Amino acid sequence: MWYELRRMLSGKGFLASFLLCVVGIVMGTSWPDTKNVLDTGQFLSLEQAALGSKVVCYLLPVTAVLPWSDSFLSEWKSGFLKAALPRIGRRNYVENKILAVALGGFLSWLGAGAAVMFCYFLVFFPLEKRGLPGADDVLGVLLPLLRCGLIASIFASFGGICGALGGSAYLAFGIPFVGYYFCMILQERYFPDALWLYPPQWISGTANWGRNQEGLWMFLFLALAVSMGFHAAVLYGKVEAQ
Amino acid sequence: MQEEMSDRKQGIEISRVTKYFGPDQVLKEINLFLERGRVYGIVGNNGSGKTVLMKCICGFLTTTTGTIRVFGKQIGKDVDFPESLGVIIETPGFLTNLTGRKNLEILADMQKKINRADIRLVLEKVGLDPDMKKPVAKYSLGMRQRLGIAQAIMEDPELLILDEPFNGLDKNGVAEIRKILLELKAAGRTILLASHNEEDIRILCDEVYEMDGGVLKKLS
Repeated sequence: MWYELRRMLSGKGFLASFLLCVVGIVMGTSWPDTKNVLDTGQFLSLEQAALGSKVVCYLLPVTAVLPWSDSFLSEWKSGFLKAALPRIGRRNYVENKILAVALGGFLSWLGAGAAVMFCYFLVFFPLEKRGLPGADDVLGVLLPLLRCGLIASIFASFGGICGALGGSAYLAFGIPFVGYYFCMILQERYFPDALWLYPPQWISGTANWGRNQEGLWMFLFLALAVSMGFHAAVLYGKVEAQ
Repeated sequence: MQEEMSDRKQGIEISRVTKYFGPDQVLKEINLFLERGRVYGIVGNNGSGKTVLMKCICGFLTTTTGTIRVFGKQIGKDVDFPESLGVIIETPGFLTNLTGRKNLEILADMQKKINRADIRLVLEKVGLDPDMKKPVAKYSLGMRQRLGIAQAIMEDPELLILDEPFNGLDKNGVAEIRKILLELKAAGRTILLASHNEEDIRILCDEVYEMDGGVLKKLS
C-alpha cells in the first residue's frame, strides 16, 4: 500500500492538484477589511466561506482526477502491469490502486485546506480580537473541507472507472468533469428539489439533511463506497485478462 | 541427496492443458514436467502457442482445461502467480516517463526483497548505467530488453520465464545476457526459454521442445 501511496504523493499530478486546490480556496476568499480589528476566529470563517465559493465548486472535479485516476491506464497500456502483477498479485494490486486513487482526491483537498488554514492563521490571527476560536468555528471549516475531500474521492474513483473502461486518459479526466457539471445543470434547470444532485449542496450542506447533516454524510459515504466498489470490479476485470 | 531428489520432483507440472480462444484451440493436451534447476527451451513458429503456454504457466492466462503446478502449488487455485517468478513475455513494458532505475525501484518496493544498491548492481550487470537520467521512452530496443532482463532477474527468482529474451540485442548484448543466464543456470535456477535462435537454445538449454500448432514435442 505504502509504495503506491508514496508514488501518488510524489507525483506531478498530486502536486498540480494540491496547488490548484490552494489557488481555488485563495481565489474564493472574500478578503476582510484589516483596518478594523477582526472577529475572533475569522481566519477560520474566511476559509469556510471560501470552501462554499463557486471557484472551489468548479475546480473540485478537475482537482479530483489529477493525482492518480489515470495511473492504472499508464501501467496497463505500457505493459508495466505484466512485471507488477506477479510481484504483488491481482487482489493486492487492485486494493492498493483503488485506495490510492480515492486518497489522491481526498488528500489534495485536505492538504490544501490545512495549508491555507495555517497561512490564514499566520496572517489574520494577530489581527483578531484576543481569544481562541470555539469548537463550532473549527467544525464549521473542518466539515466542509472533509466533504470536499470526500467528493473529490468519489470523482477520482469515477475518473478511474471511466479511464479503465474507455482505455483513455482523456476519459479519465474528462467524464467526471462533464458529469459533475451535468449534475449541476440538471438540478438548476429541471430538478430544483433534487438537492442530492447538486454538488454545491454536497459541500455546503445548508439544506435539510437531517440532524447534524447525517443524511448528507450517509449519501457521500455511500456514493464513495459504490464508486470504489465499482472501480475495484472494473480493475479486477482488466487485470484478470492480463 | 534424497532432499535434492525430492526438491527436483517439485518442479513445474503441466497436466492435460488445453487453451481455447473462442473456437480456436491454441494449446492441445499439453503434458510436461520441468525439473527444478534445469533450463528448458521451446522453439516453434510464430503463432504456434509458445507465448500462450508461457502466459498460462505465469498465471497471466487461465487454462481452459488441465492444471499447472509450479513448485507444488496449483496456478489459479493455490496461487495467482508462481511464487518467486521472473518473467519477460513479449516486449518488456515500463513506465516510459520514468528512468529505468526508477521503474525497477517501483517494482522492487512491491516485494521489498532487494534494496537500492542491489538495483544498481543488477543494472550494471545487464550493461545499463544506473545513473542514466534518460527516461525509458528514449531507450533503444536493446536497452529496453536489457532493462526487461534486469527486472526479471533482480530479485533472484527461483523460476525464470523468458520469451525471446535476446530480441533487439546486438552481438555483445546477446553474449552478455547469455553469460548471465549461464550463471543463473549454474546457481540452480529453473529457466524456461523461448527463442528463435538455435545457438541460444543449444548453448543454454538442457532439454528442448518444439511447439507446433499447439502440440508440444520433445526435440532433444
